[in-house]
Amino acid sequence: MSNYLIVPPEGGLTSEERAAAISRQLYCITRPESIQNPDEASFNLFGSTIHPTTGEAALSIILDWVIYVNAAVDLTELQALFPLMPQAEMDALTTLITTSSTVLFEQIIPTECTVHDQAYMEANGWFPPDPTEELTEDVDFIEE
Amino acid sequence: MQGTAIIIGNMIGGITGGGGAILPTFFILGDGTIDGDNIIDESGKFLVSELAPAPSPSPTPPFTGLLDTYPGAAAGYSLRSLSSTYTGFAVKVQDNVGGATLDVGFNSNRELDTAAIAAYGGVNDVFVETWYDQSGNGNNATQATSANRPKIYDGTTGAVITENGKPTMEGNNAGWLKTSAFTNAQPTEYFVVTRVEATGNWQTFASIGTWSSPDNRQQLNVNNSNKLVVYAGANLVSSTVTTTGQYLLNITVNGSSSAFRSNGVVETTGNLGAGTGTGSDLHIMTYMRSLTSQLWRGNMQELVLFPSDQSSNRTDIETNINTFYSIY
Repeated sequence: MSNYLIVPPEGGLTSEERAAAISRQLYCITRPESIQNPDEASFNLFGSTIHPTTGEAALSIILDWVIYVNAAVDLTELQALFPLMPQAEMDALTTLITTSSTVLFEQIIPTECTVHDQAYMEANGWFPPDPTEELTEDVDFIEE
Repeated sequence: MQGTAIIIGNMIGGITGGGGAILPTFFILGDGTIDGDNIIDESGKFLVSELAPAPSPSPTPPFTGLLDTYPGAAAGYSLRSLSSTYTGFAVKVQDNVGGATLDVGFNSNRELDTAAIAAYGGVNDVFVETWYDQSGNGNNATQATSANRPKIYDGTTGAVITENGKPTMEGNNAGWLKTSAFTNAQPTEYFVVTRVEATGNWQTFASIGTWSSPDNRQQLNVNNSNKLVVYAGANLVSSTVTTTGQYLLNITVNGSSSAFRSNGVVETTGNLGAGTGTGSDLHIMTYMRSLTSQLWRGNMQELVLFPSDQSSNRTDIETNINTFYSIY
């Protein structure tokens, strides 16, 4: 079961733009742009979902995902996506990543972020009931 | 005419090419004498008794794929070769430990080159980033997000994942792929080789179109009662409960003449509605509306879409597929 990180707009980016940029930079920890092939230009680590009414984005995350750290990792762009992060926390996360061969994703979640489960997301309107799922062999689809 | 004789040892006599035969190239590892059409040793024993050309090896019969016999598919995805004219790859794969992507084609049997994947993966899992379209239409299905890619190779076992002995890719409630937008207007027909995991969850193995404003989707599912459900504005539901296992599913989306078949048997017929499947990508192993909550839990080996009614070919296409996969 996925968990979620709701990504607020920050640093001049919309929520959706920032979520995409964070996911992209998480991919670059394992495959820095300096070593990427052209076909990797759009690759990212986690997918995202968009709130149907607010337009807010949330990353669909896997807490125990193992991130392999490339020796050529450059965290500059990832750091820039967290302008509100205290410097001490930024330094600690940077050191953890750059001195490790692997990190679990849950180890590098900033304290400003809150992890939400599926139930929370459903209760807060992220996944409104799907007419498809009300179908049984005896009940037609409910049209919207 | 004469060919060439390379003799390691001593040779007595000359090559005459008796009877006007073409002399092939040959090698003799020992002393020998050319005697007419034969080569003999010192005791008169034949070393080589033919100077005529060696028989040619039997020519390999030309490959004929599913899409050679039944052309015109809108898209064809498979882990076997579907067409003699398709010269591209089967899949593009990547591990999650820092490897670059790798395009993987077919072996001499026209099946997925599993040795190449194993050599690439080693002890690491490998996932599918692109499932190439073999129809010639370029409708490749891709997944740019590492965490959402179907798994094809298990680094722990050191083997490509298989279903009934043939390579497959696992959805496993996480992996899915999608194309760029293409039209899949009715009548259209799907042929799918997939493993169903009958878990009592809603799952979608293919969807195309938009789900609202307007709802023109074509959506192929298993529902929470483990029944096959197809929707294209109206729905058809199988009469039987699907159990866990490998299936060949055929879905005809054609208004009031729609139907779907499972393992060569008609499950149900009726009106599926007018869903045109336009305005969105083809999603494989997920539902285009809720990409994180209605994922396919089984695996998939082949998906072919025809933009036309295939009633005259349907049984033969199923036979072609089943002959390869031995599903039923």
